[in-house]
Order: sequence, then structure tokens, then C-alpha cells
Amino acid sequence: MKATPESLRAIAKKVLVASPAPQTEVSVDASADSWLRFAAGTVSTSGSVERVSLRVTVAYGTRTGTARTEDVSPDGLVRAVRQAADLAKILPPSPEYMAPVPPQRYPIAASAWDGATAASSAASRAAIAAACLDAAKAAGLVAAGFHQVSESASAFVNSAGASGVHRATSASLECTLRTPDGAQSGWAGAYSPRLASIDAAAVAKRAADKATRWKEPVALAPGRYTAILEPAAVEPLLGYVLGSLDRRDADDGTSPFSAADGKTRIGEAMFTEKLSLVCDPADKAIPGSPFAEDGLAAKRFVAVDKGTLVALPVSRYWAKQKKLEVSADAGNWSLTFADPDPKGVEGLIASTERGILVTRIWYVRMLSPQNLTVTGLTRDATFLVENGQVTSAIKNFRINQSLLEMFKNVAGASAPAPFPAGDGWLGIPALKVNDLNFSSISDAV
Amino acid sequence: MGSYAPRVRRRDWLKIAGAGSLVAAVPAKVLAAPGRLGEVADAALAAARAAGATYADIRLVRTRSERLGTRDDHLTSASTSESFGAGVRVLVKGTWGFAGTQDVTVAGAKAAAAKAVEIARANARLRTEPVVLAALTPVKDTWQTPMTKDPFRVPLARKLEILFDVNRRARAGGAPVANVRGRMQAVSEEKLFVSSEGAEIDQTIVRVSPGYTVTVAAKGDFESRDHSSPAMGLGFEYVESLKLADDAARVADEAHQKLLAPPVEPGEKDLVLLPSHLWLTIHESIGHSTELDRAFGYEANFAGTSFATFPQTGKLRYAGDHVTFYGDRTTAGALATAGWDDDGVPTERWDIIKNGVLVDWQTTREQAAWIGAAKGHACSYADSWASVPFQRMPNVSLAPATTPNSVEQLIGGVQDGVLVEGTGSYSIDQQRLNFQFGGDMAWEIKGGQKGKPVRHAACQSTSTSFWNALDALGGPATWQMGGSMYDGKGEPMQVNPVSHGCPASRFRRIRVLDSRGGS
Repeated sequence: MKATPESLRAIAKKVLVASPAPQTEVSVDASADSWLRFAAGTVSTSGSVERVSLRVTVAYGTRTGTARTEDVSPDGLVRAVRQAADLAKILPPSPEYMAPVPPQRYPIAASAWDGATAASSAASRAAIAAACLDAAKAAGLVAAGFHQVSESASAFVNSAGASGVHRATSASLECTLRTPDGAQSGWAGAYSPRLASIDAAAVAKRAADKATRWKEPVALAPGRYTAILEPAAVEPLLGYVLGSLDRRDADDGTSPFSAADGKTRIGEAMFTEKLSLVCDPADKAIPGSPFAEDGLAAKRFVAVDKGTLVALPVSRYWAKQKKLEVSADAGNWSLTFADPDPKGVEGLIASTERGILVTRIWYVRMLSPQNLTVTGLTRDATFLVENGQVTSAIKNFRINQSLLEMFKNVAGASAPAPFPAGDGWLGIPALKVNDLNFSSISDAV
Repeated sequence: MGSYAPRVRRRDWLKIAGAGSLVAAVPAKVLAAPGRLGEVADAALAAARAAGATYADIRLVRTRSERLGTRDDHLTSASTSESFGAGVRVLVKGTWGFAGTQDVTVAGAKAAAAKAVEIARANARLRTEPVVLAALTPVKDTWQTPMTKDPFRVPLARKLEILFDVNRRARAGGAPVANVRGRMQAVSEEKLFVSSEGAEIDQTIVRVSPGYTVTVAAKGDFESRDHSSPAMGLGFEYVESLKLADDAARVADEAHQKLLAPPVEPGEKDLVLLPSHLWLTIHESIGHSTELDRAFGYEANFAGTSFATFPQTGKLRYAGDHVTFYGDRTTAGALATAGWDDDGVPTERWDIIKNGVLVDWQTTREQAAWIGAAKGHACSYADSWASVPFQRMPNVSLAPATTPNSVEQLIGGVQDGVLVEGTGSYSIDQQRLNFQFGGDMAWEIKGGQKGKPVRHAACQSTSTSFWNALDALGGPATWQMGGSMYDGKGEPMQVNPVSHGCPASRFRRIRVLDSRGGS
């Protein structure tokens, strides 16, 4: 990638200089994404894109406007900041506008960037795809998948003197292997800030094992079962919890974390006591961002501590209104279990007398925001577990499940691993959950 | 049909794009040399050919958007954005390569072409069969969304006035309103497509998306009700025609009714589904299941495959004889409507399910060869200059009855059922078979009459059994469009704006569940 964090900061400072407004905030982001897609046993589309984007917010008092552009030429910067200023001048005051934050000491995000990953080539991407395609062919399966390598950099400056930079890399490989008749399917994936951590052969082998073992699935009666959810099944469910964590909504009475008496449920035991939900910019395994809202320095934030809801994220505006502390989280939420199983998914299977192993869950949607009930479907290899072992392939299920209930019923977990979410990472474990509601059978493969 | 702006020519494309609005930031490099865009395109295509490409195209795309957000009586967000760049696509040894660049200069275009060729070469050994493109007569032409009021020229104050009026009127009726969240978005997609075969197509596509949500709260419980106003491929005249504020008191009152309503009684029931709800079921169960790339496994890793297979063409019965679904990228006002697709193929209308039977698919120029067709149905789309065009859903719609059946007539034929309006929760499996859909608002139907509101109603079914249970279509007067700006598919994921028109429709004996109970 041509852009560097410092070159982006230089662009941002030019915007600051060009701003006619008393209050200005500028962020500049650059990314270089290269990807390769394969399907039906062959390469399909593949590409590479570099882009820079700029966001400038200006304010006159509480009159504010924001402009975004990808034109970072000298003239383009001036146009963008003038555009934001024009907006600010003609729009009514925004009482929720918060002035630029003062200078900050940003935490150093751990292990977010890797030079070898940033230097990957078209040939290396083709080699990774070839490993999946070849493994599928050898197993008599048809491969589909996606491999992407990305580098990003960002800079932030404001008129109050705050300024910071950040850079990161990421690599991912997902592989779905199916039998030629479409009757069997297995999926596996790997994600890391470092390309060298992606073991294509291992991913392909896991997907092939799943597809091969998921043969002639039987219909298990819908009902409540112990579930072993692999990380790809946990992530979309946890996402709905994370999306509901907001102090203002809880205070307004429009959140599952609102109490009936107009208060919040902070202080209530809401998860099983071994679970915690933490965001920490110093997390070495799950990289976070040094910047929080409006360029605040990210800091450690605990939402759930040993099962108890101890805090909800608070915006700068709401903190001011309610005299609360701003949460300023780093975005790298991690779900941790007090005594994770050292053998991971295999350990969770081994400790289960009867249950269902779920590879991934798809199309999760909210059914009831009042109690966080969601629906979604299992896919790409679902198995019955009996006496500590996978014993048979079973048909896919739709789940209809309250997540508040589910996180109370967590009986075991692996250690969290990096899982991509938006532009950042989440720490997602595999979970063993009692009494998960598998509501109807899905015949989909 | 009256068009707001004059037809755009290649050389003045950028001048029009930059005219007179707050989102008019035009790249200086190009403005400084207005005739250079053609040189940029020509340079990319020549560089690709010289490097060994047998086919190449370039899309120069500018996307502009304006977004306003309000909460209650004040503005919470106001932003404009602009994206501009070029995407170069090549075929080398029958293998695709792509590179996107923001450096829209001759040098930048050459570099992007070289990178696209490098990628295609690196991947060629992985390609089992060469890509074959259907024959196409290249054209030089233009197209623009017909509209009478350019949303980018409407003062922001006018847009905010509408949203603030919504808040005032939502709060006037006594419902325990917790908040009123308003939104107003306008997007303009301007693109110049030039191919090595000689195509040169300018298009400007404009879309608007207005709406609001009223949330009520009481006694530790809350509910929301949306104004069911779909995004459309139209100008601001559409936003004004909605009279959003006139409905605000009703929307707030219905949110309150919803909060107080008893949960639906689960069981097998008849359903009368209004177009504001049914469009999404069409999208998920008909639209996605008839995408040819899914049927051939090209989305197996992400969006999924399809329960429908190509050998079932002409045989698979989706519904009764009275039911016909068609693809149409020419429907006036629809989100996927354009003059040409992103392969340069002219858009058209065709039947996908005719008299209840699967007869055709959504296809691109490349996919025509997969099924021995002479041409594709113009379903190629890329959501920005940085994205690779691939098969995306056209507007897929359900034809109305030829008789003038009203909603009341449909309800009159139901003894025990549910009437559903608007979209709520929706989820469908990766082969587009098992689905569960909720609405924004539901009422019970008893003895042929619309009754009291019910809460947490969702229907659960499978695609073919659901559509085969459709026993009565509403007439043309009940036909309306719904749609989404953000249909996701592909890796990296792209979004596709798409509309679906349908009449009110009646379904017999569908499983209805209380979604909050989770069973």
C-alpha cells in the first residue's frame, strides 16, 4: 500500500489548516484489499483495490456538518472541508454535537500489523486457493471459498490538538466443500492479523472432513438440546448482544437491559457466572483500535463481569447528559470463560453426553428486541454428539432462541480466538450451551 | 416520460455530475482536463490488450450520497459522501482479473490494467474452463433515472421540515412515544462503461430512501412501528408524494396498539399479506432461488445455493397456474432499473416463473454459456468502482390478478387468519427453502373481518409449499412495490438495490407462531 499512517496524518493536517470553522475533526483511512474467490472447483473472480477516504466534521457552536470524499488531492481536501462547513452553516443546531476531544495518549494496539501480510502477492493468493481446490479434488469434493488479504492505515486529528495514527493487517480463508451431487457440505475458516497463521491445507482438511462425515443426515426431532457451537456459530449470535449494549437505550426503556421501574438492569446477573464480556485495547490476541468515539483514547471496558452486567457503553453525549463516564471502547469485544477447555471444540464434545455440534449459523435476525430472541439456521455440517463423540450426521435446524436465556445456559467454552467483524476483530470462543431451542428442521444442504 | 436532466454525453459527464449541490466535489484531476476521461478509458483498454487480455472493460464510477438523521425534534447526523474511481476488468487465458484505482489518470488506468492482467495470469492455472462471453452488439448510448425533482437540489431545510413535522404529529395523539427516528437518504450512481469491443455507455441512476420509526415505551416494555415507505429509483417528487407527516399520528397510534396487543395465537392459519410485507418474501424465496450462480454453486461459501436446479427448468412447480413472477430491470421507479447492466447488456423483462412453473433464470452475459442460451438477461451489477460486476438480482415481481380483487375481498374469504403489513424479522436458509418472516404490524382476521392487532406474529414455511398455498391474488389496484437498497451477496460482499412489486395476496393454512415465545 502506498499510503502510510504518517502520510495520512499529513493529509488530515492539511484539512485542519484549510478549515474555516472553529471546530474541526478529520479522519483519513487507507486500505489495500486483495482477494481471490473460487467456486464450482475453479477460480471465479479475483481482484485488488487500494483506496483512501477522508471524513471531515466541522462545527460552528452546535451547528455541524460532515463530508466524506475519496478525493484527497489538494483541491479535493479544500472542497470537502468547505462542503462540511456549508452544511454546518445551513443546518439547525444539533444538541447532541460534542466538541472535539483534547489531546489524548492513545494506547498502542497490540499485534495489529504484520509486514509480511502487507506484502502478499497474487501468486501467494493463488497458491492458497490451489491448496483448497487440490484437496477438494483429491477427496472427490467440489470447492468454493474466499481468500482475502488486507492492509489498512488510519490517522485522526482535530482542532483541539488530538492526533493519532494506527495500522493493521488481516488475512482470511474460508472454504466450503460439497459433494458433486450437492447432498453433503462442510465448511471451515481461518482468520488472523498474520497471513502466515493461515494454514490452507488444514482449513481444507477440516472442511473435507466435515463434508465427508455429513452423509445421509437423519432428522432429529425439534426441541431443546445441549449445543456445541463452533465460533462461526457463536459470532452472529453474540453480534446481537453487542448491538444491544447501549446505556441510552436502557435508560429510555427501549432495551433488553431496561428494568421495569425506569432503571437499567446494571448489577443484575444476566449471563452464567463464568462468562465475561470485555473490550481491551491492550489485548494481545484480539487486536483493537486505539481510537474510540470522536478520537477519544480507547480504554478497557467491562460490560459483563463474571456473569453480572456491570456497565453499558455510554456515548459522550449521554455521559454529559447523565453525568456518566464515557465508555470509549476499542471495539475488540472478547467473550471469555473462567475455565476454558484447553482442548477447544474437541474438549467440549468429549464432555457432552448428548448434544448437537453446530458448524455455523446463518441468517440470524432479531425476533424480539425485548428479550433478545433471534432466529437463524445451522448449515454446512451439523452432527449428533453422544457419549463424548460425534455419532451421526443430522439435518439442519432453525433455532429460535432468546440470547439472554442462552448466555445464562453456557456450560463450557474454548478460549476466544480472533474473528473478523467489520473493520476489526472480536474474540469469539466455541460455546457449549444447555437447552438451546432447535425449533424446526431445515432440509437445506 | 419527463426527465429532469438532459441526456448526458460522454464528454460532459463530469460537468453534470458536479452541478450545483452540496455533494458536488468533483476530482480536480479530471475537472482540469474534462476531455480526459475518454483517454483514461482508452489507455486502460489498450494497456490490457497489450499485456495479453482478450477482453477488457473499464467502469468509471462516481457515487454521491446525502444522509440526514433525526431523533425527535433535532438533527442527529448530516453527511454527504462521494466516491470516485475506476475498475478495470480483463480476461486473460479465459480467466478474470480485476483492479480498482482512485488514480483516474492515464498512468493510473494503465497501472490498474497491468495489475488486473497480473492477477488473471496468476490465477489462470486454477481455471478449469475458460470464461465465454455471449455475443453482444456494442452500443454508445446514455440512460438516466426519469425524475422531476433532483433530490440533491432540494434544500436540506425542506427535508428536515418533513422529518420534524413527523415528530410533532407522532407526539400529538397521546401515545407514550419514547422516540421518533427519521431518515432521509439520496444516492446518485454515475457510471461510464467502456469495453474493448467498442461499448461506451453513460448512466446516471438516482435513488431515494425516506422513512421513520416511532418507538413507544411503557411499564418496562416497548414496541416500534415503521412507516412502510420503500426506497425507490425516483427523485424527490416521490418523497413528497408519500406525505410522511400525514401518517405520523396513525403510525404512533399503531405502535401503541402493538404494545398493548395480545400475542398471536399460534397455529395453522390463512394469511392475507399486503405488498409492503410480501415483497420481502418474494425477494428471499423467489428472487434468490432463481439466481443462476447460486444454482451452479458459485455462492456456496457465503450466500448459499438454491433448492431449484437447472435441470428442473420447465418442470419445477413453485405455485398454481395463476401465479407468474417476472424479472424486469425496466420497471419505472424500481431500484434495479437501468438502461444497461454492468456488462453493457441492454435491460429487459422476462418471465421466470410462468403459470406457476420455473421457466427461466436470472443470468449475465457470462452465464448464458453455462446453459446454452444465446444471451443473458442483463443481471450484471457492481456496487462501486472498486467492485467486480457479477450476477445480481433484477427487480423480480409478482403479476397481479386480471380481475379487480380488493384487499377486503381477500379478507372476506378468511375465517381464521392474520393480516400482515410491513416487514419485520426475516430469515431463510442458504438454499432458500425454510423461511420465517414477521411483519411490522399484524391483525387477526375472524369471520371475514379485520380484527384486533396481535403481537409477535411470524409465519414459518418452505418456499414451494408457501407459494403453492397462494389461492387468491389481488387485482392491479393492490399492486405496489417494496424494496431494499442493501441486498447483500458475494465476497467481498456487495450490496444491490432491488425492488419487488406484488399485489395483496391470500395464502391458505400457513404455520403462524408467536416469535417471542421462541417455539
